[in-house]
Amino acid sequence: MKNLQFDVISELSPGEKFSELFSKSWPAYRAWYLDEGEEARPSYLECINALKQHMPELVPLYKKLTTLLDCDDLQARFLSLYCPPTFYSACSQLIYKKEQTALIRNYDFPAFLCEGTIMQSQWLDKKVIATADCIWGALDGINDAGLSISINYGGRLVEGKGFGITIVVRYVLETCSNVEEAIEVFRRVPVHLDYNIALVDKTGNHSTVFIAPDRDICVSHATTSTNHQGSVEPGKPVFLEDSVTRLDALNKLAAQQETTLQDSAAQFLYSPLYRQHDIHSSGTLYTVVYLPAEGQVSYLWPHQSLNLSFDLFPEQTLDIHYV
Amino acid sequence: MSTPDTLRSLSDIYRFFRNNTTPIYFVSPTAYNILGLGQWIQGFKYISHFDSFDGGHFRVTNPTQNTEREFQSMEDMANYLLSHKESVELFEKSGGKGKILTVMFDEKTEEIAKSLGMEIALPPASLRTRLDSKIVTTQLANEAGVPSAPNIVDVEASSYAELQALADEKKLGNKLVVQTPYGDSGKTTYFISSEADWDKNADKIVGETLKVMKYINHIPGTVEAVATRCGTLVGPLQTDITGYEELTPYKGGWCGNDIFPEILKGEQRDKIILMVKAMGDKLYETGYRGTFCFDYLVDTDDGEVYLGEINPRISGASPLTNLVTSKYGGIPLMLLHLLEFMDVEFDIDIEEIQKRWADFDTWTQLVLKHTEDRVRMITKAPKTGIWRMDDDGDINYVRQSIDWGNVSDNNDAFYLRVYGEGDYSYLGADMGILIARGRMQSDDRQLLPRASKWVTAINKEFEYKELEELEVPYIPTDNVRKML
Repeated sequence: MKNLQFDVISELSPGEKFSELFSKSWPAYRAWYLDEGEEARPSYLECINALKQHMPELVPLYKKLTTLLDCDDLQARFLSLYCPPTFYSACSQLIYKKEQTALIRNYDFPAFLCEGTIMQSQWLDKKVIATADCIWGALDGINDAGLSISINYGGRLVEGKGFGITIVVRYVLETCSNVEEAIEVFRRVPVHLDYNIALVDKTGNHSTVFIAPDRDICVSHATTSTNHQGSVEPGKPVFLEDSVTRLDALNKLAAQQETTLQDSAAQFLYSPLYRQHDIHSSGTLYTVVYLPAEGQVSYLWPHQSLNLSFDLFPEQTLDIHYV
Repeated sequence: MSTPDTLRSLSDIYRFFRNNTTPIYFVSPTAYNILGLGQWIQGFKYISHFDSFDGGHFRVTNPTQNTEREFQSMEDMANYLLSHKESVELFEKSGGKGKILTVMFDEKTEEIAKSLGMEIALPPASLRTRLDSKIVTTQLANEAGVPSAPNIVDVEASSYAELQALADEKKLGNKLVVQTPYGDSGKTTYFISSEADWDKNADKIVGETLKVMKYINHIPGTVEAVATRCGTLVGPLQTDITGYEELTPYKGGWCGNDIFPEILKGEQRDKIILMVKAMGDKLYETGYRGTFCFDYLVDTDDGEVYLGEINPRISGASPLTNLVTSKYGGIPLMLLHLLEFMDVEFDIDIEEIQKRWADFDTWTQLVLKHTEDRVRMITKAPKTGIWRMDDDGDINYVRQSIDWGNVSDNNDAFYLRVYGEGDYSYLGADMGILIARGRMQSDDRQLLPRASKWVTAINKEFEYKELEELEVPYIPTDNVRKML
């Protein structure tokens, strides 16, 4: 049995709750960040320059956070998320486009490496609800302009000079209002690993963007993605073998005309989309459904669920047990 | 063309730096090389790795190192210091844009400076690297009419016989000094007068481009100078203090300098000064500006003076140079270096200024290296400040001081702590530096008893703890051991 505690936190401006989050997570992140030695990570100057160059709107917020947390050199470098160590996960994404438009995803990762923080904030001007990663980055989220985004690891081991994806997701949520704007971000901001990005906005527009550190981005109308990009050639191994199986399952789900949103989401709680913790090192930690037009978010677990919105966001703690 | 803003006199230069609004930062392992310059320059700051002053120097910032890190070289350390959050925020607070001074730097440092919007107030790294070669230096000196000890340069030898053949061609004799192009004093110079000497060093010589010199009995010395648009200004001559086992584990390794007015009177001194000027002017022609160190040799058999080598940088000779050139009615030589890199016109009479340090008192600096081949953790270290020696050779801490200006008589010395509590001592570590009035070395190059007394007394102030069994301390590579 594995456990993960989810903390639902609302703090519009970064303050005490954010500081606590940082203090709690820093020792683990420090160990991860220093994994390959301190010299392997870019200097503070390189980090701040990269932020200024690629995501300038985040710089005042970044400075505010580093001041609030009284960050030393190392902590500030980590928080920039510029050229962090690598991390690989599983995950499945479905852009649901039937009676309404929604984004459904499974996040699959080792439980002890997940922060388990669901946070509502209003740091720049938009209200944002997001699943936190690397403290101020996000794995997926929604903003009150009506944009939802979520990410899948893209599958190859190619590493480039760029940002950890979760800070770019944060950037998109803080600064973009629709799919087009988000795509523009992925065109210009370098990311250090392969990712498949699912985007949905309140007008019903959607896109799956395939990004990689060594290739131009590929903007597609795909509604499904797992942990590979492009087609897998027969006999050629993929990083996660079940990536193809899960994609097939998602495509089947997308093709069924009559399936309701609820039924589609429910499928994420069953194999092959749901990755059992006793079989996989990256088991499914949560399923989340974003409704950008309504500003609603639902987290689903096999025996529990959590509904949140910009109007109703009760702070709470959930203990989730994985079998 | 002269403008009303052209600096023409020392007063003009003093005023210019007193009112300076361009931040200037010296970035180095310690503040030592140009300690005290802040008294003359508004907006001058030090960013150093070692906290020699326990936070007690208002111009010094020591960026906190949050993790273990093995610096590969002094350049690596300078780059780390410049890119550190505390430095970057200091630069931002001072309005960005400024000048950087350092002892060692490379192309990466230049990139960093550019991205900070700052300028390195030193000639480009590529030029420095080129000039640092003993072979290039010798060739440039030849062009400038500056003699080196009889030699042959830009050659290779793969056997002792080949080396001998080269030496015979130029009549260099059987006692030879062989140098590879780059390297610190005492480490890349090989004395070869037999096949056995060759065999011992062959692996470091074969395949390298060489300078092969006739061995001469000599006294080595150093002089710092500044190449400017108005000519080359030459600092006071210094003797080298090298190779004493109390001070350094390296045979022939540099461990300090003496400055005293009687060094090489008359013709020899005049000749060296002319050589330095000619060399400085030649360097300026090649695009080099500012401070450099000219190592000279005096042949004790026939009194001839020669160029030893050039160090195109702020160096270990800088502290005594700035001390003498400022304390006795002149100006820190470093200010003239800086003028070359400031946005200002100047037209000064070099000869007039240089005359001002014709007469001065005697001073010595000693660099105290760890001479024991034992790694221990330091649990107590002598503090930076003024120390006084009593008649029994015991020393006492008189008071805290941020520079050596307050050393009042021959019983006082200023000690700058490098390694402190919590650091590891290891063979060759630059533990600290002592600056005192009076000489520490005799004319015939014997360490004077007072020098030994000071070294013993300072070493006695250190306390150590043996390492725990599993403790693996960070011991710097050879590249960074010479921090000054």
